[in-house]
Amino acid sequence: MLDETASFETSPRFDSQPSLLCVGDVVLGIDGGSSHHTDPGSKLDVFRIAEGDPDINVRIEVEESLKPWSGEPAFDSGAVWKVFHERDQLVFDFASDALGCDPYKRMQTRNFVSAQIILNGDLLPDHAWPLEYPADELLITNYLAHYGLGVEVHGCGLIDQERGGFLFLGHSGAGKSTTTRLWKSVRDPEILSDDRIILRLHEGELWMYGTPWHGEAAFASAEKAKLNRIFILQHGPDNEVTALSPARAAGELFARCFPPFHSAHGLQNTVEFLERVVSTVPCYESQFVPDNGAVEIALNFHD
Amino acid sequence: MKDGNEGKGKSTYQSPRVTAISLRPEEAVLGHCKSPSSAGPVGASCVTGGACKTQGS
Repeated sequence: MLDETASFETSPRFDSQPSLLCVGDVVLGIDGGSSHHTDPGSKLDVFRIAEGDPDINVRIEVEESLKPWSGEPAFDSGAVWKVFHERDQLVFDFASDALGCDPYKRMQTRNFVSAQIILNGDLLPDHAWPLEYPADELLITNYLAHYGLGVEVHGCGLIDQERGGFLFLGHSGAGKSTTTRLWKSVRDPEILSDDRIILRLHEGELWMYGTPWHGEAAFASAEKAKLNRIFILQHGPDNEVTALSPARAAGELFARCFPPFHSAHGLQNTVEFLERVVSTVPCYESQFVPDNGAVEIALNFHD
Repeated sequence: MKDGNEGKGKSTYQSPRVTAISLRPEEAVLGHCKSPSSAGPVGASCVTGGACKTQGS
């Protein structure tokens, strides 16, 4: 049953100073539970901020136990989470075969400006980080989609000291980590992420943001960079860049983002945001051979 | 009747084309693991004991 007293949108936000994280220019304020529950640990140090007005207020609670939410889910990820509609709220249940049938965590939210995370004290250790993947990523991507503010994409983003931001999108196996390592060895750029990048528009410009959700190369930075173009990685026999029509580019970007499939509203906002992206910067299919030539092609490329 | 557009270089009509773009649901839906022993992006501390079913990236 939903805690109907937890009307976060209208009640005072926090009793004490919350912990603040900023990912993709989305500020999360985290409060409640024990001190362990509001301390994300060193791996998120670069995403901590000292002050800020939270975009999303997260309240942590611990229950002795949690039982599965009743009813049919609105969406089953096929992984650890399912989402249910309960009147005007969304309920995300997180469960793992390794821990049994009961959810180890539950996240409740109305419009993603506030969320209540309930930890199952029977299944989780005292020091469990409430926003451990995929809860953090779900919360932020759903917030961005709900309000049409941005989108998370599957790609590696880097900032070259001389040439600025480069974004390479790609499915699994397309070469994101290879591209990251190549650039690192040739140009030593700052790597925002080797796997997940958030895109946002600001005053008609496209910006990319690093995220904590890195890939195998383990790069994560809280920095951001303006983008003048987007490359979409494909394997090929040679290094070659081909312009994509905006319509084609929008489709390719959609196939490489993480839209909220459970929400028609979020999906529509995601598509509309991508339409704005491809109207702002050109997109290119980038076939590449994993050698230094791939770096040179991108560095010297002009629209 | 003369066509007033004669000589003005009209572009050739191209009928709409449908282009199929591959969507990988196991990658597009958040929550799928990057490795058999870690939830999400590799390196995240995992409390689910490696029960994630598929590789996400």
